[in-house]
Amino acid sequence: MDEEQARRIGERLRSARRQRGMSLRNLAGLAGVSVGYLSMVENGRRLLDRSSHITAFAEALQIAPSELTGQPFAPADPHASAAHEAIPALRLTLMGITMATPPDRRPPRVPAAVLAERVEKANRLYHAAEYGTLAAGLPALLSDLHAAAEAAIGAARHPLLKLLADAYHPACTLLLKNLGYTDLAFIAVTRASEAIAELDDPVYSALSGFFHTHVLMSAGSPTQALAQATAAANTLEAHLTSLAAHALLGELHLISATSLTQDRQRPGKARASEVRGHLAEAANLAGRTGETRAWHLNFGPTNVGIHKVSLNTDLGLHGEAVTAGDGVHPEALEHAPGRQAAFHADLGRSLSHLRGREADAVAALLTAEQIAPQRIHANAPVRNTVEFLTDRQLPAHTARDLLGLAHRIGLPL
Amino acid sequence: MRELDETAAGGPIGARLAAWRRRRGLTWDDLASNTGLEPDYLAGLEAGREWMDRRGRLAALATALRLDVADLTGQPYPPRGEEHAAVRAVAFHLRRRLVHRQADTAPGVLLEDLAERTRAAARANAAGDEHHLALALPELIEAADRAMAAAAGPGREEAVRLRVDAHVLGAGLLRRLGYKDLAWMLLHRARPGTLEPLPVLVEEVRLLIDLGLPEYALARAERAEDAGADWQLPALAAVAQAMAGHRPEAEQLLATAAERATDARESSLVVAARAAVAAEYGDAGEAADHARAADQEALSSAGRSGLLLVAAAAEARQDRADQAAARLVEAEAVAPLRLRLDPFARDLVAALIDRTTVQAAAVRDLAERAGLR
Repeated sequence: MDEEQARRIGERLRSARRQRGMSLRNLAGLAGVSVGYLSMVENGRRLLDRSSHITAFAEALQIAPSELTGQPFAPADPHASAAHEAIPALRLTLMGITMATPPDRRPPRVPAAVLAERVEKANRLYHAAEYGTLAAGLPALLSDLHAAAEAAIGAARHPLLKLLADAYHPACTLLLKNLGYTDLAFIAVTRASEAIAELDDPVYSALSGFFHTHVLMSAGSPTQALAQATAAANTLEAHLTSLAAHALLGELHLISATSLTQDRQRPGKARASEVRGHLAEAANLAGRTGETRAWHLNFGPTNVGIHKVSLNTDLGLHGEAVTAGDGVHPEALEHAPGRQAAFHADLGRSLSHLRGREADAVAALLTAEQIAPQRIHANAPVRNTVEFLTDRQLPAHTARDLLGLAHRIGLPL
Repeated sequence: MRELDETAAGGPIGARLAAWRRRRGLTWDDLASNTGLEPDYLAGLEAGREWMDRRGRLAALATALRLDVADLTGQPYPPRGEEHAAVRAVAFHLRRRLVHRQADTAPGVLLEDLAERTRAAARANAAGDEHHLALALPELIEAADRAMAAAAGPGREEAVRLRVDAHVLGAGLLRRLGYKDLAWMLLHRARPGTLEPLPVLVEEVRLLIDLGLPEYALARAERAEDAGADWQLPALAAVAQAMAGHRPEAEQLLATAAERATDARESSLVVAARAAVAAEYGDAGEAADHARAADQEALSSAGRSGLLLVAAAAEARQDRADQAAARLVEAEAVAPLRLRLDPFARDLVAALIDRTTVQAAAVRDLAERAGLR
């Protein structure tokens, strides 16, 4: 939302560094990278797509990672425009700002079953990466749910509070996170946690902790993110009474692993082994649960496989990431094209780091785009990868395909 | 989302307007019919012949283009200079503090100590000293949280009050920098239970005005009337009414604010609000008269800087570019970063560069310090 939009990540980094009066050596030292690496990143000769590096640079520059990557990106197509245009109204709803004072607001005469169906639909739209449609519909849905919860008394409130929690996450929170509205995603989890506090249900509290972990990672605080996920997992361990609770614990292990990949305070070797530990726990839980859709998420063996690729990519173990992708069948998550696309995108990112695999990288990125264009067009690491690849020597047809993708993402070339 | 269009000749807001209008595929006539603004004015903004000096117009453009106001102002601005960099980092530090959910194990804070820190931050705020305010805030908010956690018995009420004040000071700075979502988070966090203390309500109204939502600001101000008969809310509501084009209502509110002012400082701030309201509905002559009538000596530096900016804008509208530039330079001397980070001040600086002769060098230097050149 900041610095200069029409610039590549390396140029943005250089400009942000200079605006703060920092030398190359200074920033490299603070971020824990070599001066040579930083210089090559600034010159576009090295691909900056690892979240651990982006987080470290953002921390040293004292900005949010999204401010460094330039999110939210200027909309380049009608869908992205629709999502972006819906933000002001969504912001008002999230802030609880209404024209009428609450007592005047009539609760909708919508039966709970209809509200439940609308919450279900919102989450379907999120997983289908239909961000424009979702963003446009969320203000009305959230207002109706808040109004219904306010009007209900006693035990009748609980199902409505649970519906509120399910509307806030994943649909609202991850939409805002994926689009790069970090501070608004933070407001969404905060509003959800207020509803959840009233439920006084440890499993829901752990769910709130899971989504707070997402926001902490977006805000560039991987150490706190890990602490949050660990606290939530500890709460949950004592209440593993359902399949859904097991699935949530599995998700918490996966997000713990993801937080670890960003945490540069841990030495690399220890980090990788802790990541593998969480992956093994998650795989074990997935073996018990099978494929689930608990909490409107996708925990199960396929999602664990997808994480093997993303985690290795974020650790910079690109060869292992590509190998890990071999046995994964993301299409098994047929209701979650967004997740499938993320898999192909991570594969593409890793391939782009491997000498001679650039054409495969482009093919993977195009597959990702085809499955869930709105998610891919909003994704910062994909954007950085596409920028980087456009400077490589590529076969003519690959270069042409890549230029098309760059254009659709809205990259100035 | 910053949208710089290198080819555009307009000022900071005009250049972004041009980029977004084209992106939305609208003509000047389309946009004019959606906003009630003259097509010539819009074309002038984009070409640099015009500048933006009215909140209502900026809000109308953002609404018609389905944007946040910040998409047009370009806030938060890229840091220029060490002090600005430090001020901008306050968002980073406060975000860290807000997302931190683990219980604090650190020892509590003495109430006297918290009170002293809060007073120091309030002094920096009144002086328009964004740099000292930014440096003080992260620790102040942390101290306030700890004091709240530790306070019991008679000290509790005092701790709550100080914590509210600290959060409101933080929200104000974040709002001025353009981190409006974080500003709201601070205000939300400041509420003890369901109560809405007056300082929180006043800052919420300011936030809604800066978000370009005068109707919502008015609804909030109305609700706040029960919170106490204070002069600030009617003065702010008057600005919101003026943004919406309701002059008689604005005048009525200003009269109420004037009645409620209890000392010279408050009376001067109401006169400054009169000037801002007159400027908002386009009466530059009256705005200049009010600005001259205000007792500058009674105002804090922040108040004076704000008043001088309104005066500068009024002079510029009356084709007195040299006088406008002199006021603007004076406003910057009084509260440098407060002035340089104001979106309307920046548009005026860009507009005056080619208009003033006597003050040309001073305005160019100001533009340089603001990172506008």
